[in-house]
Amino acid sequence: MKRIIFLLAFIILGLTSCDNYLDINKDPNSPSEANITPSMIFPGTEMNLAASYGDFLRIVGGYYAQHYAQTFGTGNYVDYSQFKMSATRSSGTYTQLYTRTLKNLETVRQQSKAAEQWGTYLAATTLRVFTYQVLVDAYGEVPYTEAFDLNNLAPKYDDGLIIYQGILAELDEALSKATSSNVVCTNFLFGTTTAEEWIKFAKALKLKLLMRMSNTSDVQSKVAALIQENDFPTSDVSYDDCWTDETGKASPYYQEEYASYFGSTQVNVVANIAYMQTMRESNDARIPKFFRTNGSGEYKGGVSGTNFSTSSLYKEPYFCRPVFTYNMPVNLITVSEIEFFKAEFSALHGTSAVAESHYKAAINASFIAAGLSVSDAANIYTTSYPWNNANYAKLIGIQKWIALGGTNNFEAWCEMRRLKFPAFGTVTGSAIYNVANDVYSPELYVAGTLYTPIQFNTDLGAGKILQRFKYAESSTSRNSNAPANKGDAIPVFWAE
Amino acid sequence: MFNANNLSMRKISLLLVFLGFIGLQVVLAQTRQISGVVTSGDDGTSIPGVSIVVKGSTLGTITDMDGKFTLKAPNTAKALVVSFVGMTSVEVPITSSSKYSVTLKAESISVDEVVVTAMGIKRSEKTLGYAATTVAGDELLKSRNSNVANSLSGKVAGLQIQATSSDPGAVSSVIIRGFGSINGSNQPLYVVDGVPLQNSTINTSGHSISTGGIANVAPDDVESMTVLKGAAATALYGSRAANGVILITTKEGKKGNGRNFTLSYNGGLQAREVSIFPTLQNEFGQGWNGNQTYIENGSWGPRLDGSTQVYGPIWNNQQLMHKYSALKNNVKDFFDIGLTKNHNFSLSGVSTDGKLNYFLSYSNSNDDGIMPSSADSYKRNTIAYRSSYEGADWFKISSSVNFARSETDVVGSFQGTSVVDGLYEMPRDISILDMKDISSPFNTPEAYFTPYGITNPYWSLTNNYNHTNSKQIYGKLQADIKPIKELTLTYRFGFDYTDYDLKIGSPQIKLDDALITDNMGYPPSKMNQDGYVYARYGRSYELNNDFLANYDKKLGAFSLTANAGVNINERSSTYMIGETDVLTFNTGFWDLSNGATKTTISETQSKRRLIGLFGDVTFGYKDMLFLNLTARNDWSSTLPIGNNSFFYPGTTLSWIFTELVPKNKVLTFGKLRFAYGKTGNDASPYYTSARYEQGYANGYYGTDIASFPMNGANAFISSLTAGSTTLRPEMTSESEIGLNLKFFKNRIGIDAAFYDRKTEDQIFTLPVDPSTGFSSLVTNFGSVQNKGIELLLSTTPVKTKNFRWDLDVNFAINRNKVLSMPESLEGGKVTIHSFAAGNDAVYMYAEVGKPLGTYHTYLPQYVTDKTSTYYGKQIVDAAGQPVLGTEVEDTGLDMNHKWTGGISSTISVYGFSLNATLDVRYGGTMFSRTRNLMEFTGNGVVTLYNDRKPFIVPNSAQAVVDADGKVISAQENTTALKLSDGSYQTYFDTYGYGNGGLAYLVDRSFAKIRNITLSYDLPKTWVKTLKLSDISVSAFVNNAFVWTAKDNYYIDPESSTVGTDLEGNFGELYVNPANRIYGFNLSITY
Repeated sequence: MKRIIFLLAFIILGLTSCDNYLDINKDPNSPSEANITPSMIFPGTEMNLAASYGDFLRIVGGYYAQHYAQTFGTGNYVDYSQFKMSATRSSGTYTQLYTRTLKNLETVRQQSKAAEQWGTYLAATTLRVFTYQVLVDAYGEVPYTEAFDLNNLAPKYDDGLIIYQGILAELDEALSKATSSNVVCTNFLFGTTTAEEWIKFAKALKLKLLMRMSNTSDVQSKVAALIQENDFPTSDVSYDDCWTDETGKASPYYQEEYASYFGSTQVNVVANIAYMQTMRESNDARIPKFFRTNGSGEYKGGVSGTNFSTSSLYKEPYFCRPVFTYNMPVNLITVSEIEFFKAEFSALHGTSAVAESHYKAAINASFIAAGLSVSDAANIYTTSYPWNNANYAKLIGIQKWIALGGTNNFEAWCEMRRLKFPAFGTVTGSAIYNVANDVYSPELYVAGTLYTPIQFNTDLGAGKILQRFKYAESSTSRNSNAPANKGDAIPVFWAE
Repeated sequence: MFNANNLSMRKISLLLVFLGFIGLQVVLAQTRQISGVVTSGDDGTSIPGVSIVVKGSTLGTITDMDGKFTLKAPNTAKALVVSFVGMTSVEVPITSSSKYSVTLKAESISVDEVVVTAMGIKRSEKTLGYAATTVAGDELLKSRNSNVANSLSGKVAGLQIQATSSDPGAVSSVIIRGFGSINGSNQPLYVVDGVPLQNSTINTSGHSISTGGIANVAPDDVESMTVLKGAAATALYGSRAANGVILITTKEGKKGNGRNFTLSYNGGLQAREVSIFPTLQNEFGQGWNGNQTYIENGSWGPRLDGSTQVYGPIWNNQQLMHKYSALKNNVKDFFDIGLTKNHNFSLSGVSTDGKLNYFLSYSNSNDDGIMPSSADSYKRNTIAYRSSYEGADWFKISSSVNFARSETDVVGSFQGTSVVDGLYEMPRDISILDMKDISSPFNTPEAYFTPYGITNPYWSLTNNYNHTNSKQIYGKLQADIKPIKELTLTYRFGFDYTDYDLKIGSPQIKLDDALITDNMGYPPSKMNQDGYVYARYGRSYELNNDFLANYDKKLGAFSLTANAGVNINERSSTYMIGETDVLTFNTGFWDLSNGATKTTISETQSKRRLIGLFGDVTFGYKDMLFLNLTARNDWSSTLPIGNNSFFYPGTTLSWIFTELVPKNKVLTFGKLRFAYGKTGNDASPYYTSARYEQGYANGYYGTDIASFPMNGANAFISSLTAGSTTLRPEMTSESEIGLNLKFFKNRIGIDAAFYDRKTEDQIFTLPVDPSTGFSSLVTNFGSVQNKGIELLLSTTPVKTKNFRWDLDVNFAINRNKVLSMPESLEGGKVTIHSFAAGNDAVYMYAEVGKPLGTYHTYLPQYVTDKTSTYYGKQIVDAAGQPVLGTEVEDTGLDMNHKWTGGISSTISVYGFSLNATLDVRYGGTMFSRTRNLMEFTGNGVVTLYNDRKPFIVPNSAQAVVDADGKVISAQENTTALKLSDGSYQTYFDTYGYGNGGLAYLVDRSFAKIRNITLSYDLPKTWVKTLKLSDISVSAFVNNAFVWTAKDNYYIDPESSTVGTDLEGNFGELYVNPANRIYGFNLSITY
């Protein structure tokens, strides 16, 4: 009996120390929340933004802008070339931008605000604003005022204008707090420790936001003040020196479209006849910087809405691949874009001469970024597309479309929707390439125009550019307040 | 040490001889001759093989063919113990007479069967108020499955065993009474001799294999398996028993005939072949859109005409030629016959004084699949030793140690350079047999006939690697003390430790097309891949400390049995992953040093603890009424500290009403039972706090397109899953009513049950709108109900001395329904699993008001305007192609079988026994990539629609759209789809043969003859001359016949490549074909 009493005593003793015994539910593979600092988080948020913006959004933007076409032999993106976007296609990007980008930026913002580290606060706010702009530009409406609240699993979608106004206010607030000597936590964008370049980036971003709104809101005085202050980046704001030729470390677009990191190399993206032919007809020196020659040493562009699968002539080696290397930049905003905005503003509210100088500066900046010189650019603005203030939207539209075609295709798709240029011509894709007879007639294409893809998005209709993404499936299937999709032809608020 | 090949037969026979000598150490004292005859009390016939033992000694003999025996007994002998399987043993006092006539009566074994229940407690079956089905070990051995759980198929009502594939080493999903948990495990708990085993399954390349657990229990070591189905039965095992318990009782030491040990061998040989294969067309050959393209991975070319044609690229000015005609078996020809060998040796016995009991066994299983190499194989060696010693009448110690080691080689199921993708995308006119020589560039990616992602299956087989090594050690130490007669105190330490090494190798393809003269449109170098080596080294353990007190007391007509105990459980797992790519050696050197870049190095650890306090009381009245009350309280480390305690009770009532009925010849036994029970379930570890992980980002296709550390910096980001500090345990409650009836002295038995089970407050990682900052949130929500009936009919229609026919039928219906879901979810549904490729998507949801696992996909659209003349017609677009919905829609189909059933029949005559088991599952739907692939490649027989001539989509109407693309009305469709412009093929490829996403779904109904076994027990007289006790031989076929639904020309509907649990029911992607197995078996007992 003694033994039993001993045993029972042992059990009872064991139970009293129960709480200590059971207090082990702390994940050994996760650092403690208390030890997390902005410098540990920030580069992670940046690379998530770069991975979405520099890969998926770049590819879809390129197809929607008719920079890109689908090559023979593969069909991965043939739906984009038909101006389609499904709810599932963009779902991963939506998730990535909200969770691993914005959510973690929120943590940085909260921590830096509490510690009054205004440089870090500005950097995190700037990337947050940048990301929100991308979401609005792609989807039109997304959750904003009710986002980031786990007590509300059905956040409402806010109108694009409300979000734009909100993020502009956030940017102003952060700019009002930061000074150029403020310290910024570890980041890949500038790699510096002060806020100086972040302030310039934030102001360029503000310009981009205001200009985007300029057709539908009165932002003239704000833009004027910003241009007057002229505190913008003097070199392209991009992730350009953080890449290594390795899985998970190279420029994202390169990894998926060029490298054999993820299984076999499936080539999809080739030049589009619209983009290629427009540049060729203006003897644009950027062609060899943006595209490789085809198998026969020529510059050939494919046609939207087909992958030439039935063709016996226009096979994989026929069309040109974009030039891309593992260390090519993910551009957030370029000097060329800033100059185009200034040109546009001056054309409307200033003088033609000032507008022209910014127009030339924009084109020059694009050539320089492409590794060319100013002299290579001259023929564009002297001969092919000389400045004419009355025609500002068309000229800026086409030249911006060309400049961004090699650097930031998503942005090109946005600006085309706003500027309405390049516009659709009368020739259709089916005329340029007759699928049934396998006859390709690139000579029918008129430079500086868009054309209806061979097979096109019937929800959108012919002769139209896709105006928006369908709301992401990762939201609509989980959020009972997600609205019904607007039509593919319904513009986002700034393009109305 | 475990290589059976080293253990030559000569050594074995030496061993047998040596062991034989031990048995001969019988001391001969003064003796007298005794003889007699044993007859059956039932029919008066004599019984051969009856054991006669002198009480208190090991002296004994068995009766001969005429039921007669003689033996020499010491003069001091007092009695003979006469026993026979299935008969009640009798003790015959030895008198002065030397002749004895003994009558044995049939044991009413099925009435008063002892069932091992929770915590190893033995209870008489009649006292049980819940459903428990026991299957004897020899039943399980018939089909010689390497995994003993598979042998339960078709034998237990309400138990659904689904083999994930036929490949060697594949594990099964085991589900008792339907799926209750949407997010957690639905697999039962396996308990071996009172010790829970870990369920150690890993999924690799679309295959679920085992690193330990039930798969490592040698079937020959199993005495019986008992399936406890209801919550009331499982209350004592705690959380993991909510899905039912499978109790395994292993064999104990046995006396042999006339000696105190038994030596036995059981082994056999099996051959497996392909059983189910997609039905392929034989009319059209290689090509695309009706043209012969020479490098296509499909059969959309012109009609096969028998002409001589070139194909593939021109390499070094050479090109392949062949006859453009169908090769009916060009894919099937790839497979060969896989051989399986298995051996089991055991030695068991009891000491002379009966106090020491021991059992030792060794088993070896070597299973090679249908692939023409050993790249699909499973090898397992097990050693088991257990013994118990009764030191005094008040204490007993027992122990069990089991060691198992297995090696599994898997031929991966994936898109691309897998064997199966290479086979299914093979044009119908290209010969596989010519591809064996992989030294020819035409048979490697360098100049293979197609560069479109797939390659020569022989090359894939040789150059892809997937190997798992695992070791497991499990067992127990137990002490039982009886301080007073009515009380037993038990302490048991149970352990289960597993470790494994998983290595996956994918070859580098690094082509430069230097020797390609003409690539025919797409260069082979587009096949280039970096290759990788992936290593995962893991270990896991489970420890259980149980303290148990058992009290038994009889007071007149009343009886009392009470148990109380404590269980302290700890479970831990840890693994480390390393991956490297851009290989230095393209193939064959699967080591982490073989890579230019180290892409992944990560570790994962998890540990959980649980303390449970439980009690169980059974009151009995006159062997007629039994009331059982149980209660348990758990404290779990995985719930919020301070709020981690949960309590759950259960009760059962068992009423043997035949005690009140006068003895009669019809109704032998009748029991009515009622049960109600609850089981609480805790969460997975680390769900109660915020977590951060090393920074990474996804691309569109590739995961980890950014992975830290990079550019000299490290980063952490918040986990996508938000934890909860307010988690509550998940609760399962179940009510059950059952009836057991036995008629005509057990010739007919009926066991019926009705149950209603609800799993509420489910712990779920709820997918949430990412704009909340997380993509899922751990929370309690939702309720799932399973209710159903189970019927088991066991009959013995014929029973004479030399002929017996047993026929058992089981039948079950389970109705599953999701009762509630959180409001935030659009339409009240969450995704269980999904498939998305390009613009195709199939989702399997848990959806409120519907059974679990409803399929949604893009569906064809029909004219819904009733006033339209085209009402009800399928809508097509301007190109004449079906218009599919822009959002996924409910197909009205779900994964659940409507009913399941089984028939098992055994005919025994003169030592021969013929047994067959039929397993039927009716209804339900599954996803099949194989089906879709057959339509994509034009290889499937359905692609012969209209003989591939132009056609207008039948019963269709063309949409009239306005300028915004909105459909405003319908008109006559006159646009034909043609092979020549690609639209015929697009109809199959993009529009799923007019069915949209339904082209991925197939009916999962089937009927399978799981097993047919013919066995023969050699006559005892012959056996005796060999100085043996038993010899039996058997021949069998597993999966002898399989009938599938009439629209399933594709796959074995049990196939799964996505795991073993709820999501595993989704279906298959590139599953390897199913097998039929022929086997032969020999069993010898000494």
